Amino acid sequence: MGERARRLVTKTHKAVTDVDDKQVINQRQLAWLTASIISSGGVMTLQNVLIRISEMDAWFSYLLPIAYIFLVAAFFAYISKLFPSKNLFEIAQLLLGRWGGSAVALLLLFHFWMIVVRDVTNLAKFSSTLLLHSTPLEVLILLPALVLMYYGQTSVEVVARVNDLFYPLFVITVLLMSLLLMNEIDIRLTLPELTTAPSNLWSSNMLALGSAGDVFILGAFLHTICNANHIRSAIRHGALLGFFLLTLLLLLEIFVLGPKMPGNFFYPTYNLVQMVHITDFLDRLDIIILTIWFPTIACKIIAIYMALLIGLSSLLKRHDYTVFNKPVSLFVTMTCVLSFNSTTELLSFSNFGSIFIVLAYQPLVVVLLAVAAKLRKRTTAGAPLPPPASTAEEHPPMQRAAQLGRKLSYRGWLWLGNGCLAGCLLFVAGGTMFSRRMPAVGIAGGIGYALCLILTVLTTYMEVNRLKQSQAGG
Amino acid sequence: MSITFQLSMILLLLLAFMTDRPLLRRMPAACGVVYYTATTLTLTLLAAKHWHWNLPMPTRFFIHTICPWVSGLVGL
Repeated sequence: MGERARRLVTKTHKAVTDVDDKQVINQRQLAWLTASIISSGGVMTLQNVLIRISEMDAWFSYLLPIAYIFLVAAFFAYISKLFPSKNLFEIAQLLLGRWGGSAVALLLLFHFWMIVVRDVTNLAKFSSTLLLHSTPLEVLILLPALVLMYYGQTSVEVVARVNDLFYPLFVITVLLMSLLLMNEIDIRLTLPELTTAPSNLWSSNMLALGSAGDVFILGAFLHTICNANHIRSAIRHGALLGFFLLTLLLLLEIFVLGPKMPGNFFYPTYNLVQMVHITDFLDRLDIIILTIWFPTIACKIIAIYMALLIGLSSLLKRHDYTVFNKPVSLFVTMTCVLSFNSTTELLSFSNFGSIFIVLAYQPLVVVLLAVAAKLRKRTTAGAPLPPPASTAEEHPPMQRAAQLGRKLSYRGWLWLGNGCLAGCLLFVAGGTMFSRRMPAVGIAGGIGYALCLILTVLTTYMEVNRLKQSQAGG
Repeated sequence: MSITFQLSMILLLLLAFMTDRPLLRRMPAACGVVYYTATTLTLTLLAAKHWHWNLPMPTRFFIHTICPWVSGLVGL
């Protein structure tokens, strides 16, 4: 009996510690995790700077980040098709060898460390400034670190499930805000539309690109989805959903607070929430909304932390990352405490530091790994390759045609999404060129951009849906 | 720095070390090196905070060099 119990304990311990081998999430979970990474980060930082640069046209600031994430999603799909069930760190080691792969992994780890430090401190400063004034900042940093330590013992599946619970609520609260703020909205505050200098629009787009670079952490979870097309569509759809919500929030900030005031606030989204005055009874709705937003922000931070742990263990060619969890979480806590002396420094780093880190290494890593993968594909053309990741295109055309009827195929929706994004760009470019002479063109450009953005969200949703259908049919 | 925070950190480090020690024995030496490096760095940072030593953090480079440059580039 004692022997059986000991064996059971050993098996249970093995199941807990060997988490990485069995991690599987579906494409909806990956999409919502992506959306959470994109949207929850934007809630606390950057929006004031975007409004300061582009004023009433700040809501056009997410066009370049969307295009960038489309490229990153295509890159992840490409490499995970060649190396199924491998994460970005392992793929880098396979393609570039021990030293080259380790160098890339160290670059990625440095970025992930910086963004986890940034986000934990941001959350603590946010709580300290707005809610818990007399609580020491170190304690407010320690609490999320304990959450990280707890989730570090689990797997990405657990984070994805927690995100499944809270992200829909986050989406509902953001969508409801347009309804709740109806009595405060003045549409004229966004006029004249698209009259900001193109250089300002470019600058705000570039700064927003810095926060979009956070999506690179999903490279650490590539092994959790075996279908390359699922990875691409999930990231595309999640990113679009996240950016759609951020665009809506920015637009509401301009509608309610105007194009000048939010630029001077530290947390304009929180000020927007405070503007909800339905009745005297519902005057402090901000507390309720923050209780929904906090877990979503926590999910983002946990996902980044897990990517850090996975990267560290991959560097040592191990799958079990739980052994590093406690010391790394405590190390992250101490670096959070020592990294920033004031809120101004933190916001400066969050708003202007990310873009430099992202552009300094991500395009280089993408090109390097893509070229190495292409060369490897050529050299191993004759040799037997490992089984490639399944794609939606594997199913027989007849079977697929029967399932999808007369509607568009997966590739059709994919290119329609790309076309809608190009439409967004055309509307912004056209509006910027002619709106100074003809204000109506600017308004038409704004409406066209909004419609194309909504259509892109819908087309990426259809991509995910088509893949699900073809998987069910296959 | 809050005394609650310092005590919590030391207790957590001790607790982590005690619970991870059996696991570390079964792990290869490289894992132990990473584990003990992270723990030593954490203790050093804790001591630096307590005695007000000015340790160079990577974020300082970005805050003092990169961020003003980027901020100037975007016209702020």
